[in-house]
Amino acid sequence: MTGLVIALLWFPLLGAAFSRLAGRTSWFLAGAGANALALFVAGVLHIPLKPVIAVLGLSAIAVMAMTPSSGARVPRASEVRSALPLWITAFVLLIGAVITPLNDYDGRAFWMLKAKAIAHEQRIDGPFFQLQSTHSPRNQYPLLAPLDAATVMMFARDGDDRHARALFAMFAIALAFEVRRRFAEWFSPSTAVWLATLLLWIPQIETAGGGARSAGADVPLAAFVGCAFFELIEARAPLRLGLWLACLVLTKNEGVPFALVFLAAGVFVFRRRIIAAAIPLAIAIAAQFAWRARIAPTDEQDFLGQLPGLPQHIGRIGEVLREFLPRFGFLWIAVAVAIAVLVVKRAWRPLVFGLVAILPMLTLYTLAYVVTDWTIAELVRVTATRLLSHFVAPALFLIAAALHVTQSKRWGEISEPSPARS
Amino acid sequence: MRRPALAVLFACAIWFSGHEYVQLVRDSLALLPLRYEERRERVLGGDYVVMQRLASEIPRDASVTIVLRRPRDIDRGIFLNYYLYPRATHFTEPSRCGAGFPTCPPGGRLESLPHTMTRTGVIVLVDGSDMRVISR
Repeated sequence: MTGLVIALLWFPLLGAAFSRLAGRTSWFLAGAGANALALFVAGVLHIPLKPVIAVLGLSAIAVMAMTPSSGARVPRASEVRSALPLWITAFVLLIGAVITPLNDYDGRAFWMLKAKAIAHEQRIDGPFFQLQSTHSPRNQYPLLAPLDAATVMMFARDGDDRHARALFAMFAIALAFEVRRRFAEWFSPSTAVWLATLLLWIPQIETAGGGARSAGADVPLAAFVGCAFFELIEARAPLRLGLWLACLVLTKNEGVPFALVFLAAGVFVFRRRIIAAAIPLAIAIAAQFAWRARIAPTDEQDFLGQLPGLPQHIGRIGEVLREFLPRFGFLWIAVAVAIAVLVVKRAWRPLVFGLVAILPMLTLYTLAYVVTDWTIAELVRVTATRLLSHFVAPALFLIAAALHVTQSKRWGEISEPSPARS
Repeated sequence: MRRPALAVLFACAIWFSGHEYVQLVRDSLALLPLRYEERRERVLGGDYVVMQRLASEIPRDASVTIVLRRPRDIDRGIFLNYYLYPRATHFTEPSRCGAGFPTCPPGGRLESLPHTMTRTGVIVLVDGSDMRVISR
């Protein structure tokens, strides 16, 4: 229960303060991102973590006390009633995660072990990360999720993984509620509720192995991808985009190319204002480089080092597609239909946004399978579902845009990015 | 058109994930009355029970060498490594001495291992589901 209370209070507190400064966004996701970003930079600078947590909390309270409300409020009973499927699903998922023990492979082998080490050593470059104490597989994996989990453990004064169960489920739930808020603005409240609920029912998200009930970093990455994607569409707050890009870098290795794709797209959306997004991203990348230079080398596969071998391996593309495509599932059939509808109806703007968020990274994932040293079928079997979960928010956006294609078409003609309200 | 499309999507979602949610509710109700350790024992099974027994036997400040009897024991070794934290641990696999497993017995013979360990501490053998302390 301690972990549940912390997940529902600490991260939303930080996120609410961030929202006061940078505009309305998901309190939980902004809080989880800001908390980990601050702790990571502090850890790289050798600043003790517990005082940083105290300063974060005091700063958040000060911001909440001194700045005017950004318009966020407690939902009315009628709003909760209209979103009942979403609330019920979120409740079952959250309580289920809290009650059932962690049993996924990656969560225990890599991510939660790092969280325990950070909470125990109070450092991100201590003996654990120097491989001087415990065996640390995937030693250089990014630390956003472990830092947030370690924060919960530090509050609970206990390194048991049960305290972080709610935290990981909340990444999926917070993304679902963010999808609901955004889609209600852009499309319609009922479509927003049903697609947000659908997000929590998609097998890639719901599953205990790599999904919302695991302790992996794929669902957090999917949440930050979704938030960054929504900022691009809204085109109002480059600083918020910067937070999400920094979070992408610090969540998983795949987050770096994701962030660079979004940054490149952001240049077209924000023009010169993109600088505000590039600064947090640059800080995160620099801190990541500095940290990795200081800790022991990792045992993970060097994908970038294998890319030059692509011409020799290109013949394996057929095998990759044979293994990869059957993993896409019903959601992607709906996405294909949605893309066809948007093309036929010439709703180019939402189509371009959706494809920019999906195609470059999907191509990169496919190439990673082509150049891998692993058995392709085996690698696809253990990773495809998790990789596809990264695209869930852009995928749902394409479906929503196709369902509201008349509104979507108007996006190309108006400068205001909230067609449902215009 | 919107409602039928959403209904089809939801029917698919329920088809693929419905049983998972039903199982989650069932598991949650069944596990709720139990203490958290009992829940772990029920969900994670016999390996977890053995690993917890080992964790209770080995002092928290001990240095532990986890010896993998066969390469396929690596997964159990990884989880043992997790549940033994914060004890200092490293892996040895007699059949695959090399860069990743620097501490090896002569000729890779397991029986000579305790006498050749360069680190002092506890040695735990992982031999399938049989995990036990073989030297202190």
